[in-house]
Order: sequence, then structure tokens, then C-alpha cells
Amino acid sequence: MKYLKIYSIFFKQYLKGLMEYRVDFLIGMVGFLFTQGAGLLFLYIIFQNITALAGFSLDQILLMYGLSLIPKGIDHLFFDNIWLLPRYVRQGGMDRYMLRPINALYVFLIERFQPDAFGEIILGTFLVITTLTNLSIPFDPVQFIVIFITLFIGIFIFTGLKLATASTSFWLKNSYPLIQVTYNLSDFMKYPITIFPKVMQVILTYVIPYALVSYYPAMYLFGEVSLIQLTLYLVLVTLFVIGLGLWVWHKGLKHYESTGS
Amino acid sequence: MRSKIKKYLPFFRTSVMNMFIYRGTIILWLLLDVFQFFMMVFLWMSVYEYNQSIQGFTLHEMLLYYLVTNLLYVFSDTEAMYIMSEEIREGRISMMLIKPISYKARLYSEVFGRVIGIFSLTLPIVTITAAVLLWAFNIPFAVTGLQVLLAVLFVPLIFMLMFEFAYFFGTISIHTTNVFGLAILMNVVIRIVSGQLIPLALYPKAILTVISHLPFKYISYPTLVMLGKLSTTDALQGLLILAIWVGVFNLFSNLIFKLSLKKIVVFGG
Repeated sequence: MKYLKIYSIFFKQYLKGLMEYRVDFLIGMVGFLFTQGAGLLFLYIIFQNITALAGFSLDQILLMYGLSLIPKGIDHLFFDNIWLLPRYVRQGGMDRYMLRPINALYVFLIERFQPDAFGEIILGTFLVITTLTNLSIPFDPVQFIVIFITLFIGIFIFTGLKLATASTSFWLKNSYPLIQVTYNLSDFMKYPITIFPKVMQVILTYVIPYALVSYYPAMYLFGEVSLIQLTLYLVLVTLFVIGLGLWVWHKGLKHYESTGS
Repeated sequence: MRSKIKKYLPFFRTSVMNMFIYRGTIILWLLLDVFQFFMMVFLWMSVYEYNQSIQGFTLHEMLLYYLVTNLLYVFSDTEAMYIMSEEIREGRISMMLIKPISYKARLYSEVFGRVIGIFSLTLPIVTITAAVLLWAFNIPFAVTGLQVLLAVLFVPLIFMLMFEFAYFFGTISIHTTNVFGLAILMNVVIRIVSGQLIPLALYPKAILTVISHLPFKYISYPTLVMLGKLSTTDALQGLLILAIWVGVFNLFSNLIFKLSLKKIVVFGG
């Protein structure tokens, strides 16, 4: 309860700032829409010249892409502050989070709300709805709930990975490239993972499991993967990723030594 | 003339050296780019699974296209815009304007130094990547001296074109405080219309017609020349038209800068 109240206070504060910089908000959102749009254009142009990629049609691939954009955007919306962790660690800024009478990770996470992410969320939702219509996949309540839960859990895959990689900055001081490479891998989720070599497939399925929010749920909708397989995979892998993120964070925080000033 | 160049040499040198100070970080970023490049290679391999050639590009040509375009894209630098908008926002521009040096020439030297610094770090990495690619796909290395010469002639003009363009957008920040969003937008658009995203030949006719009227298509010309996709006459003609564009951009951005300078407001020093 206390946590919720604090969040609402932070959020109100944030909205006041947003109202002051409305144009910035719009430009930021359009910027992210455009960046994703370039990726879509690339796919579209390629499909002007071929009919199928690794056996998948354009609609099927766009469905995978759209599915992955939704949790990616939601993570971006709420947990964007993780990107700043390397800087806080270097400049000794973590002190203030540790001094507060509330969970340090919680205050750290809620400090920034990033509305630029609406560009990704809107685009993702749009893609999922249009491709499902184009592919004429009938509405099925069970499937709907399963996909909903998958995407919800998928958010924490992004957050967990970001937290784990960012927390290495407690030792490395600058772990920014590491976060970036892990995060950027999710850009390749607009393609079916079967186009990559076996090693990459294993990595994208189990280690940096972005395939969990794109390829596998799509395959489930196509009827290629069973519900039991998906659930088992989902639960095990997400637990591992979240656990890893929290573990590295806690280890790192213990190792934190602040700065002289 | 010589004393003039001498005046700006220190800015160039500092800027090159600045890049070398951060060589560790830059090389790390470049290695990430190499990794992403190889992911792209797998994508293209599967695109070409059932096609020998797409719009005249074979798989080998496509891979070389991306490699060379990415290397030369270093010269399409828009950093001038970020430097300017920061100097304007923080008011440092007033200090720059009262010094007995040209604001634009100083910026030119700085950005040029930066580009040379990044290029000298990028070149070895791209060379190694190219060697791996040529070996792995057994691609014959065939490029003539004339093609290299023509390609090299394009590079300074592309650099100048993009500098003028960035300088114009930098000037805009005198009127609006936030150009970062615009910058993101502009960079994406240029990636699309320059052929860095995908070779322009693959675009549908309608889009291609629009793009062919813009000067940004010349950014991919050096690569096309080296791949033998452009005749010598086309290349020479391109050089000429690009030079004219640079001249026009130069006049235009100078004019806008001059007009905007009257409006500049700097908060107390």
C-alpha cells in the first residue's frame, strides 16, 4: 500500500513536468515511431522482392514483431531509469536511494516514467490487431488470455535483462555497451529466429530469451507450439531471468562503494 | 591562405585526439556494430535462399554493399547540429562569436577532426570484417583503381553536404530550444533516403522517383561505384551535381545563420 501511494505521488509530479514540455513529448514519441517505422519499411521492401522468409509470410513476421514491441514498450515506459544506473554508480548517485526507508530498487525504478514508449506500444498493438485480421486467426478466449499473460510476463524479461546487465556497472563502472548489445538483440525479433544459426537460436530462447515474446507466442497462435510447452518455457525462463537480475543487483549493491565527494 | 588554415589546425587536432582518448569505448561500440552486421548477414542469407539476385544485387554484392556503406557512413556526420544546439542552449556561443575566428570554420575543423578520428578507428575493424567475409563466402576481390578513385572523390563532398545540412539544423536551435527530437527524426529519414537502410534500387518506383530528386542518394554512390553498379559517366555526372548541391546548401545555411544570429538571446554570462 505504501508503495502504491509513493508511486502515485511520483507519477503526479511527473505529469506536471510533462504538461510543461508537451511538444518534447510529442516529438520524442514520433521519433520512436519513426525509428521502428524504418525497421518496418525494411521488411516491407524486402517482401516486395521475395514471398516468404524462412517459410513465413510478411503478416506472420509482423505478428512476431508486434508481439515483441508491446512488452518492450511497457518496460520502456516504466523501467527506463535502469539505463542511467552506470552513471549513478560512477558519480556516486546511488547513495540517496540506499538512504531512503524503502526498498532501494523500488525507488530507483519508479523515478522515471518515459512516455516516448507510447510510440512502441501503439505500433505493436496496431501490428498485432491488423496481422491477426489479415491471417484470419479466429478470436479464441483461451488464446487471448494466454497471449495477454505471455506479454505481461514478457515485460519482466526486458526489465530483468536490463537490470542484470546494468548492475554489472557496480564492478565494471561502465556497463553501458553491455546493456545496449543485450537490448539491441531484441531488434532482431522482427525476424523468425530460425533464420539464425543454432547457437543464436539457443541464446535467444534460453539465455537472452526475447523469442519468448515474439517467436513462441506467434507459433502458439499458429498452432505449432502447444499450450503446455509455452507455459512451461515461460515460467522457467522468466523466473530465471528475473532471479538473475535481482541477484546481480543485490550483489552489486553490496559491492557499491560510492565516491569521495 | 596558409595562416588561415593554421588558425584552425589546433581545433582539428584536438578533435582527432579526443576520439583517440575514448578509443576503448569507440572500439567496443564498433565491435557491437560488427556483431549486428553478422546478424544481418544471416538475415540476407535467408532472404537469398530462393533468389539468385534481387534487383541486380547478388548476395555477395549485397553483403559488400552494407559493409562499405557502413564504413563510409562515418563521413555523413551530423554532430555539428548537436554541438551547436548545446552551445546555443548553454550560451557558450557568445564566447565563440567574439573570438577572431569564424564560427563555422571552427566547427568545420572540429567535426572534420572527429570524423577522421572515428574513421581511422573504424577502418581496421572494417578491413578485418571484410577479410572474414571475403574468406567465408569465397567472394573474389575485384575493384579497379579508377573505381576507388571515383569513390574517394565523393567522400569529401558527402562530408560537406552533411555538414551544411547539420549546420542548418543547428541554427534552428536558436529559435527552438529542443532539436534533439528533430535530430532523431532527421537521422532516420536520411538513413532511409540515402540507401544506408537498404539499397535504393530495391524501393518501389514511386518512392524512388521522390528520392532521386534529393541529394542524399549520393551518399551511397561511392559504394555503388566500387561494386560496378554505376558507369564512369554516371559517377562523374553525380560528382558534378553533388558539388552544385553543396554550393547551394552552403549559401542557404549561411543565410539562415546570419538572419538567426540577430534573434539570439543569451542569458547573463
